[in-house]
Amino acid sequence: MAVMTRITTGMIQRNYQNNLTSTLGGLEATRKQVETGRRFEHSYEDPTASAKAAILEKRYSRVQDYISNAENAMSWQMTQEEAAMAVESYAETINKNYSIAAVNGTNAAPNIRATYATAIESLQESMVSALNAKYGETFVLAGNEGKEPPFALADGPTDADGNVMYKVLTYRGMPVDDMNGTEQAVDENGNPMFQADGTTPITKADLAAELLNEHSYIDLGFGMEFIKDANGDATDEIAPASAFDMALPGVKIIGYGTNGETVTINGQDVEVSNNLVNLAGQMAAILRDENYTKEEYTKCWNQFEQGYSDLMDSVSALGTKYNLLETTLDRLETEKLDIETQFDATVNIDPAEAIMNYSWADYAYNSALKVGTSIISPSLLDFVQGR
Amino acid sequence: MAMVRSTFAGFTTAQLALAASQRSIDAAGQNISNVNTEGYTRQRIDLASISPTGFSYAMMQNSILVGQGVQMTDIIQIRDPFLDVQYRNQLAKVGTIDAQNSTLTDIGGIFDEVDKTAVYAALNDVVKQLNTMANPDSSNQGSSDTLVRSAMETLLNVIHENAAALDGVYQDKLAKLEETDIATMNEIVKSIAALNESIKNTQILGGAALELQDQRNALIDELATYLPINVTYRDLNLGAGIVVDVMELSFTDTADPPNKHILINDGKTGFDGREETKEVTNADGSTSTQTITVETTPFEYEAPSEENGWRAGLKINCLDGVDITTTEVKDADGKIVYEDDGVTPKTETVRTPNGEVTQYTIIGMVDEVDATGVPTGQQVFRDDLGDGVLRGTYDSVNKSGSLDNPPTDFRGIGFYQKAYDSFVNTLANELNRINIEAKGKPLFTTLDDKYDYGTDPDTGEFVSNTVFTAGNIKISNEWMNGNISIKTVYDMEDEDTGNTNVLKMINAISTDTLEFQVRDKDGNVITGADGKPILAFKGNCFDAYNNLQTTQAIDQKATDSILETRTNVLNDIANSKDSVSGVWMDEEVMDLMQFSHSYNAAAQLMTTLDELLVTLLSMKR
Repeated sequence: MAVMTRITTGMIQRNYQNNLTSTLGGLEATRKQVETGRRFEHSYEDPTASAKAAILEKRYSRVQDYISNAENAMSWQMTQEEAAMAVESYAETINKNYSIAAVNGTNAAPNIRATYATAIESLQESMVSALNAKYGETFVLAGNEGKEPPFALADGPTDADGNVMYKVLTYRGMPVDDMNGTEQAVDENGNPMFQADGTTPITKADLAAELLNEHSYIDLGFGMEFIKDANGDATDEIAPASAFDMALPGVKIIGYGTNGETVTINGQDVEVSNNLVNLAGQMAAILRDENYTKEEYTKCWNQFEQGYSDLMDSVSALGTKYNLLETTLDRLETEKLDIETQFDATVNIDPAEAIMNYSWADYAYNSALKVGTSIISPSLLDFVQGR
Repeated sequence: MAMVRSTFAGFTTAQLALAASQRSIDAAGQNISNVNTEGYTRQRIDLASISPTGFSYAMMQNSILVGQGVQMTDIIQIRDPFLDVQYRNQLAKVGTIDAQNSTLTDIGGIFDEVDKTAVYAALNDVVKQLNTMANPDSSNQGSSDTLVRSAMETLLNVIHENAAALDGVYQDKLAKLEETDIATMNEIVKSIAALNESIKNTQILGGAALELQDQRNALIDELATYLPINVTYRDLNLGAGIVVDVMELSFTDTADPPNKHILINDGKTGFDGREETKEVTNADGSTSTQTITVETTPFEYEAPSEENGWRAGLKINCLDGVDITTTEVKDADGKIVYEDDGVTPKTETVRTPNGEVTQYTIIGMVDEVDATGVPTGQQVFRDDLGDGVLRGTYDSVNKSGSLDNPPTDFRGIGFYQKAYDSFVNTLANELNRINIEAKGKPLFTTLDDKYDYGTDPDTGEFVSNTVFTAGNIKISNEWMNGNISIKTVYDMEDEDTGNTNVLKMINAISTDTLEFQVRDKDGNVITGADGKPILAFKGNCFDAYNNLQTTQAIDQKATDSILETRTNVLNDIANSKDSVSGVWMDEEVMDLMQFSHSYNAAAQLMTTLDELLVTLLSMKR
């Protein structure tokens, strides 16, 4: 710049005005900070903090989604657990009151057996009602087809006269006893079903596997992702450890398929079921049988005891799942608080700091004003003596 | 013997002294009165001493000749022309960054969501509703589908609003260019030319026209904020000893090599009309050439059109006219030079400037010429404007930074439009694809209810033929009426409560890495130099939208800081100018006192001389 030898009036005024404007600008900025409690109003004032704030905002929304998912899952899980516990209590009744010991001795008389059979059959129906429990409008033990009741009682095997001996359970239309069968399945037109290659037959167990492997994952912040295939493309499967599975095909907890043994009821040979409901039906039918033998009853009874023990295990597994939800919820609430704190630190300003800044800017502005009155100083003109 | 001076000669000296003092006091008074006048340059009377005259050979060695008083040679302005040039250059630089900053502020008002809930919040809400829908108890419920659809509606409403606002900024800038900036520049050129005439006329009559020159300088400064200009003055000898200033104002563009365009030459400007020859078909069908004068203005704005790639253009009508003649080449001795065949004389084209108005395209599509000046038959987009408010505004409406092919150096409105449209297009097509691949129907259509898609014949993958923009997307009518819904699983049936498809949609919006390709106004993908599509962003949808805010924030922060720096430099130069040309009250008052004394002294001289004369004349009695 050129060396200045003259300081002109215009220059002084212009520079003073510029400086006063910038001081006033600083005052205005600090005043806004005090009023709004934020460090900045526009993102260009602090691009880094704005970008971080946006990321925090997104994470906060997601955590809120996970929390609401977890809370919903807990209620759903509770319904499942309650349904299972109801079935358990009915099974416990059978277990306690109609054990081998109970049907011994004098209780082996036909009329008492008939009473027991009726009781067991009504418990069978109660179990099915409990299994069709709903949460809202959706059936909780139906896997992924929760709009229709999953379980129903259908007519079971008939005796020589064509009378139905006992009722059997179907899950989603498929008889539960068929669910581990190795025979070939047939479709609704009665045609045998084959795999995609046209030669390998589809077995009933294959069909059942589809029903048993249903999942309904929800995101609880475990890093939900789809499994990638060999090319790195995403498939339709969610990685099990990355999300929470809410679906529970009900047959899993009450047993399915047959165990390979047979019993004779009313002269018919039927396979012993693994399913508690079917077993109850079979046991009731055996009790009604004229040719009741303790051995036949024992075959079913042992399987029933086993099934009941498995059911109890399932119930505690459900309890464990519920605990997982509880700890997850705790963790999410903590994370939510963390994000709030971080957001506060990024975007907001400490009120004490804001007021201090404002006071300082106010002082600077007032000083500038005071200086101004002396800047517009007298010039030589004021000192020229009059003539 | 000493020469005796003329008796009454002293009176002339005293009289000249009086006049000089008086005129100097007037000048000081003029300066004091104008201390607050904007753009005023302080004036000063140039005084020179008058040498003694009247030498003759008869003069003896011992004669003493005294000077014959003070002469006022001129009244001048004290102004440093170099500082003027510096000041105008800096004005242009400040103008560029100011115009760019103003655009960025406008864009910030749209995409800055630091303290308002808009697209980002609406997108979060969509994901929240999808998460609710993913719960088995809500899945396949009409109510949860309605909730998701409402969240989408809110999102699309905000998207439309932003798109309209962004387009508004664009249209405003174009209107500003045409109706404010260029119109003002034309007016200034007209005023300067008129002032040139007035100044010249005043100077012919002997005046100095200093105040008019101040006015002219102020106008030149105003024009300098728009584009970089140079001013040269030359003397014009009108004969009879009269010399006047003639001013030439030109603009040098940034082509390689730069071209100088004369905008004002004395009183002649680009308003004078341009002669064009046109072929006209007469009534009898024959064609003849007609020379007509086309009305012109120095600066012409060109609206964006398809020919110049939807960019605004600038043409100037300058006084660059040349007469093109071919003459024979002569060597140093004046003999004609022949071609190789020895018969044909060599000719060369001579371009003589004739000051006629010609049109030149500063920003726009022109025919390409190669290094030797031969046209290649291609068209190329030329942009040779230097700094200034025009540069800043043209950059805002024409350039898209890294999303141009080839990339340009400023992220103007086009960058944000392209990136925003890309965000909407990618998001909507992804969601449509996910629903369609689950045997559903498209959720979004263009405003005319169309969504065109198919499968790639080679890979069998889904291919969309519809390009969405922020302005033309809407929820499909079928979804609005509830005739279709989101498929929560593949080929969803009434009893299904699975949710794989919903999870896919959630991932598509918030975690999947997507490529956001950029398209031009016709919907074609813009590819870079390597043939691959240019990406506005690569990442998830949230980050893609946030990128707009972050980019704008960083750009504005940078321009703010540059603006402040350049304004400070401008202020320093203004201070230097003031130091030279500004009025300093103390100095003027001192001048007043000084010349007041010298006036008294001159009056005293006159009184003394008068007494001498009285003494002399009364000697006879």
